[in-house]
Amino acid sequence: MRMKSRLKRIRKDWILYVMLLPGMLYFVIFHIIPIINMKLAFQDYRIIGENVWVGMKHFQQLFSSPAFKDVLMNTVIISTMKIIFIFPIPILVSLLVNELRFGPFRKYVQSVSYLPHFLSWVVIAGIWITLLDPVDGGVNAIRNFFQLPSLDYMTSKEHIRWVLVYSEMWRSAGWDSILYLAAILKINPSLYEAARIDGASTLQQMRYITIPALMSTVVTLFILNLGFFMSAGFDQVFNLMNDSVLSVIDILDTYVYRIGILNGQYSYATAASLFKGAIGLVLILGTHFLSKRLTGKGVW
Amino acid sequence: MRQFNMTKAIIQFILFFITLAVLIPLLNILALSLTEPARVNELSGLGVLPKGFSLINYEIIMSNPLIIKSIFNSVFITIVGTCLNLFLTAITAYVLARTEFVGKRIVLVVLIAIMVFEPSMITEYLLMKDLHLLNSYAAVILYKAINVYYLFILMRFFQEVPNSILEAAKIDGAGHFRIFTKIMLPLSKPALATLALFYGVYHWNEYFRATIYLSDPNKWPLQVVLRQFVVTQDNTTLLQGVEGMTPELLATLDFGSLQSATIVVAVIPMLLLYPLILKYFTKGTMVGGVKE
Amino acid sequence: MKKFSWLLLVVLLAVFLVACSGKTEEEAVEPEVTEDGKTVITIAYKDDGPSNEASVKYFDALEAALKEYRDLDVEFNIVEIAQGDYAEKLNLLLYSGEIPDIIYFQGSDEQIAAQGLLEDLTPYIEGSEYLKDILYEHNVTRLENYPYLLWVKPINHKVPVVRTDFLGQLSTSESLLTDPTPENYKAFFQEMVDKGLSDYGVTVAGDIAELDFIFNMAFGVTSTWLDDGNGGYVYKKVSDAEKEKLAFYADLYAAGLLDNQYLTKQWDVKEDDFYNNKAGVIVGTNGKVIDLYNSRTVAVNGESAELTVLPSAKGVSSGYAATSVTKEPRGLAISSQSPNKNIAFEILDFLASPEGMKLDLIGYEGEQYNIENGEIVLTDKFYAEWFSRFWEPQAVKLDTPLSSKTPLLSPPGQASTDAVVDTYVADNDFTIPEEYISQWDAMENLYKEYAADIITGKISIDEFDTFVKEWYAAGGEDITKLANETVK
Repeated sequence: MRMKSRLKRIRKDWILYVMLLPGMLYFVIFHIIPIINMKLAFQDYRIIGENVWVGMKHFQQLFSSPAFKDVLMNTVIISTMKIIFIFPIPILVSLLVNELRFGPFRKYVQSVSYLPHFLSWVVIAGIWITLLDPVDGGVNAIRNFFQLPSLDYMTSKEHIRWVLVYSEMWRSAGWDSILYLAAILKINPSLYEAARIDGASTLQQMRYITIPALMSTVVTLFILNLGFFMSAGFDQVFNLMNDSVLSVIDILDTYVYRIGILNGQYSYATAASLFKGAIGLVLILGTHFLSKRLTGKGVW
Repeated sequence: MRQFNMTKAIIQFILFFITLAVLIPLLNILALSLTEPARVNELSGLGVLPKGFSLINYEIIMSNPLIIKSIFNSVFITIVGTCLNLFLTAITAYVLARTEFVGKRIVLVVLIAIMVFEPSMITEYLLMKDLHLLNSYAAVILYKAINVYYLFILMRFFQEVPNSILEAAKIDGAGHFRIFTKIMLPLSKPALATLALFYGVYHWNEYFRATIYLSDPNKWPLQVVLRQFVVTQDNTTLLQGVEGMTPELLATLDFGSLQSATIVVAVIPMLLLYPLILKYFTKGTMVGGVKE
Repeated sequence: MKKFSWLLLVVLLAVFLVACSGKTEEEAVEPEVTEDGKTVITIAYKDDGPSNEASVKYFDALEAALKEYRDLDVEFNIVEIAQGDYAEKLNLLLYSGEIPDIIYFQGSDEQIAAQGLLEDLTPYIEGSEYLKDILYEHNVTRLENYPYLLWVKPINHKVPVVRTDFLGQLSTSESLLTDPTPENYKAFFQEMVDKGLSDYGVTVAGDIAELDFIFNMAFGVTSTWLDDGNGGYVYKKVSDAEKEKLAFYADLYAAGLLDNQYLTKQWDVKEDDFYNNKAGVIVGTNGKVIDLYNSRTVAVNGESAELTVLPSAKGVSSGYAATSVTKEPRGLAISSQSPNKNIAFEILDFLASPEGMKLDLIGYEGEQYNIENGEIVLTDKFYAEWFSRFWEPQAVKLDTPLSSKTPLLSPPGQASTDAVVDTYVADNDFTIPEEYISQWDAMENLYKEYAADIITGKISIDEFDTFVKEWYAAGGEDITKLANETVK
């Protein structure tokens, strides 16, 4: 009985499936097939001939290696720091920019704040290393101005994670605020009119109109970003690492790169990817369904 | 008569400060690229004006025979890629966001899985090889034809379109495709513009996959050609790659400033797009549509 | 609607174009033999590619020479690998099953060899006409251990160099050159800084590996596995000798004689520092690299700035480094799957013959050299841009003698290579087995971290003993046991 009505619905909605077709085709060819091929994680790759099944060997190698616990801890800590300190910033920036009247200053702010995102981490690392130079870097020049001693941030285990956080913030705060700005633009301006007439201050308008309207976007982005929790930013860390601080910022991806990719150990690297992806999947689906139950909002 | 709004003033001050924090290092790069090579050491990390003025770095870059072609290649990849991205993402997002159909939940979960699982490079490479897409733009454009993250973002935007508008259209007898093209798309201009920017920048900055999938140097995009330039800082490469280069001239160059010049060249074209994109971020595009 | 249909049209057109360009311009599977009967040899070499005019010219010339002197009909198919990612791209190429006939490796070759894809070159070399006579001592040992990579070049170690005019201005130079103890080195650096010739004595890029070339031997770090005094072996990095050396480095750092930014120094900035006299001494690979440093320094600072090669520090022992003979760290291999193995090797052998070496070492007549009075005179073009892709034996036999006015290497370049060759001593290291790789990575990182912190003064040298304990606990016990069984 259920089957018949299901088929009926499919037939009625045929155009939807047609509309969905190009996208699905793309996903199947360029994603599903490679993901199925991640079974490489359970095999030893042979260039000539069939791959050899080895079961959990690469996973065992990964989990039992002495550095694994450390890099995992680093990855979790750095990701958490980034979520707490970086995630809210674009929201704040978009709220602030929204208060500017449309004009040259607003255009200026928007144009400039997006710029760092265009640069690759190779470049940004160079910029920040110069900025943090203990002898003639800008940051220490400011510190000295306030009678504070110079700090060598780049080689300091206590500070290096903050360098990761702030440089990432520098790079993406402006860029990520674009989305929130686009969302804010959808808010009906008559709501603001009404609030102003009722005597609401700027901050109150923000609190009662803008922020609630942004909430669904915020929740969506937050949950989606959880999917990348195990990634923590390979390009950034790779370009900012040095011997002194390796132990505190070596993340899963840089570790796997050293051991796996550089030696052509693709199975090992794939096992690590599967691990990362599994965690990300659980995090996203978990928070999504939880959030839907609690707040009615989720990713979809 | 507008009162002096303290809050707004503070906001403007904060934002101005933020832009300074961003602008100064970037102007420093620009200054470095324009500084006379002999005086490069005089430029501090916070300096924004070049010491002396010299276009030598840009002359060297532009004299590379591959540069002009690579700019065209990048433009091609970016435009074609972004159009494809927008089309696929929009149509898929509409179906997933505003309709119900059998199997929808499964599709959504599978998409999340696709987003978080990154197969290693070798699998992708072999796939491209089997599809005979090696050394083609298709490989560079198609490997990320739809970014799932952006897809969900667009879905979120589509979901915010008031239901009443869609209901009205359905009553008028419009089918899904017409709703998509005549209602959804026009109302989502800021969102689409945002995605166009995101995808566009992504294509423009493409480096790694271009180096893997494009073996013909005539197909190389700008980023690849620029990085070839200063990666090795090999005298040999520069001497051979640039016409009119002599060992004497080479000795006078400063690689740091040459590098900054490549950064500037890489970013400038994107900056030219700003006016276009910002146009979509002015009020007034969203207003109108339905009387509640 | 109109806008949308335009968009759709553009997209469809573009997709069509793009898809077509993929199929027609795809590289057809390279035939083994071209229409005119030439054998196609595919070669993958870093920095060479069909887009590089110099590469094309070189390999065309090689084809011509092969035809002329060996009657071989060969056409080279150079694999295009964009600069900067050679190792990664090569891996992808190989792992996807496309294996060139001749492959240049700079790492990651062991896994490929382990899968039986590289040809064992021993029988080929034994039967060769010229190659077997030009092998260095270290080549022979390395080939015995790992017969897949061939790389007949002088040993690559790094040597310290300084501007000759600086040497002339310092009173400590004499004692440094005649009795290069670490203390004299330190005094030399100090004087250089005191007299304002440079900001600091020496700079290195990222870690102390380069410094070790100067000082390791002097402190007794003479090989990877050192005599522990009880008939067994101890790893060099946890030895007492290492401790003394690190204390010395910390001293240099504290006195500002070792660049205080060395940990974050990128190698291009390091070189710039030397040319701008921020660093008085720099450490570079012997031979062509020293040549390069020399020409640049002279170009920037004048003729008097020509470089002098400094001796390694002297103490318990002296020398720049022990040379690992487990295998060639880089080199050329022949694919075991290649249908043209013999021809490929013949090409390599030809390059060891006088005619082949002439092309490879000195280039094209009229451009890189001219023949004057029956001698070969090298031009500026040679010094500025030519490099040998294949073999550089110790004794170069050319059909025409090389003019003494234009040696192959500049005096400093030659001096650096001579210095390294003179102090050659084989190391006793062994390849870390696969099951220990991740532990070894952790142990090496532990060392790097402690070394960095001790040198920069963050922790005291006494913490070295803590490091040693941690090292043994992290797998050092097992590895040392293995060493005691393996090292002779």
